[in-house]
Amino acid sequence: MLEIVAETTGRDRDMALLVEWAGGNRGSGEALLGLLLPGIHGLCLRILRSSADAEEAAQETFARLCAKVASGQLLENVRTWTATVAMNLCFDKRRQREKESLVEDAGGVAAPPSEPVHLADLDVLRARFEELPERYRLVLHYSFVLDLKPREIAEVMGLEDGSARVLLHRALEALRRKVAP
Amino acid sequence: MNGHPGLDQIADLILGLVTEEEARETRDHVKACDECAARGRQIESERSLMSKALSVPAPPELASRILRAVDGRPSGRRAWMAGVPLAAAAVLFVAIIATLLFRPQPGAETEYLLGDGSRVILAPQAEASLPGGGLVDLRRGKASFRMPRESRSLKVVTPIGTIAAYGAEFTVELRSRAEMKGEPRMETLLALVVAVLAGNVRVDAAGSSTALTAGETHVFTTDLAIQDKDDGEKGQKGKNEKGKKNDNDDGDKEDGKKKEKKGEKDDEGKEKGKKKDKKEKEDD
Repeated sequence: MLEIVAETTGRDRDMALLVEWAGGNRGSGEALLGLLLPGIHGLCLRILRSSADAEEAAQETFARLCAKVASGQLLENVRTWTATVAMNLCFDKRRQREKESLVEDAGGVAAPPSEPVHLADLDVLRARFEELPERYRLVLHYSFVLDLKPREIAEVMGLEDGSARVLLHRALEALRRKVAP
Repeated sequence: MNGHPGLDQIADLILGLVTEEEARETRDHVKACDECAARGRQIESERSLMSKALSVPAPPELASRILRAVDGRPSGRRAWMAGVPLAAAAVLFVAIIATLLFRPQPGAETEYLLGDGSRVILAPQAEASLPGGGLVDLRRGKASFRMPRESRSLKVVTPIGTIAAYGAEFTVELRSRAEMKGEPRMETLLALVVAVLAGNVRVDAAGSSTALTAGETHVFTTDLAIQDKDDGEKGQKGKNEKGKKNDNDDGDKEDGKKKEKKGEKDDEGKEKGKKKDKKEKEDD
């Protein structure tokens, strides 16, 4: 029987680890880092496209999380919080970099359509994904890698709930058109 | 539900795009219907394929590097020690402040984290002291400030003017004549350059108060600078004109950066105040 897991599985675990960490359990903090790091690092890499910069941004994000935990404020949703911090940091960083290099950002511009391919080829899927406009790439990353629900994506990207849904829909649609028109 | 749910509905269900009531209806149908279950499986496999395709493994040593880095910061140590009684935390805070009275090592950028999460990054050669209480005394060189939104207010005192900020991100740079001519010993302060990346700051200099917002750069000059400027250009530009740069001759690479900031004001605003402002972007 098909199991449709619309529920996000990680939230309760996130929260449990966060509470334990805030209570002084360092191991829980490390476990939480382990859970969040791949998705956050991937997000940074997606925006910055430089592994050194991405690692720095991921590190900074986690440092801020530590400071937040230290401040005694309990985060409602550690996943959206870290995603938001990482995204903003990366945008700032990239802006700074662009100012230095005077290079135009091509991230918001859609690449020309490519040859249709079969979805099963991961590398091709990745390649087509990279051709999408940045907002599409981000919303897909949030949904598929960080496992955020549309409501949470809306929170991170500063959108209305409905807009996040629409954006996710369009992003998927755009990718589908690229891989299997 | 009449007949089969559409492919879109199943996809929405799997992506979590539907409300709980809608989900239940579709889910009930899919459970009972082989045809729809097959389509659902297909979408589900597409989803796992997507996760696989888009996931990037973090470098294996990154986690331990982050942990080490966090351990090295005051706030990091406090994070691991979260839950310590308030009094102990206060003692710790005082201790942190005490360590912040310093003269940074020449040639190295130095970063300090204040108790409220604000960051102070001193450029090489900068000279400053942080006596605590959200006060930074900058005497020479350049410093960047990054304050979390919920931070306390920060006051940067310089010989030319005083900058007050709350939850902002900005840089403050003191320029001196010797620096421009390459004589490090004989310095006359000429200008105070304040560039705001995010938030708002207020600068009190030369008897007037100027509010700067994200994307703005302002050069505050001393009277000396105006007198000294041979072509008189700085006298006009420098005094109180927003977004203009002290266009001095020696090609300081900061110049290019700062000149652009004004034009970017809109962008900055959008991304910073994203809760409100990103709405319009949904349509691309």
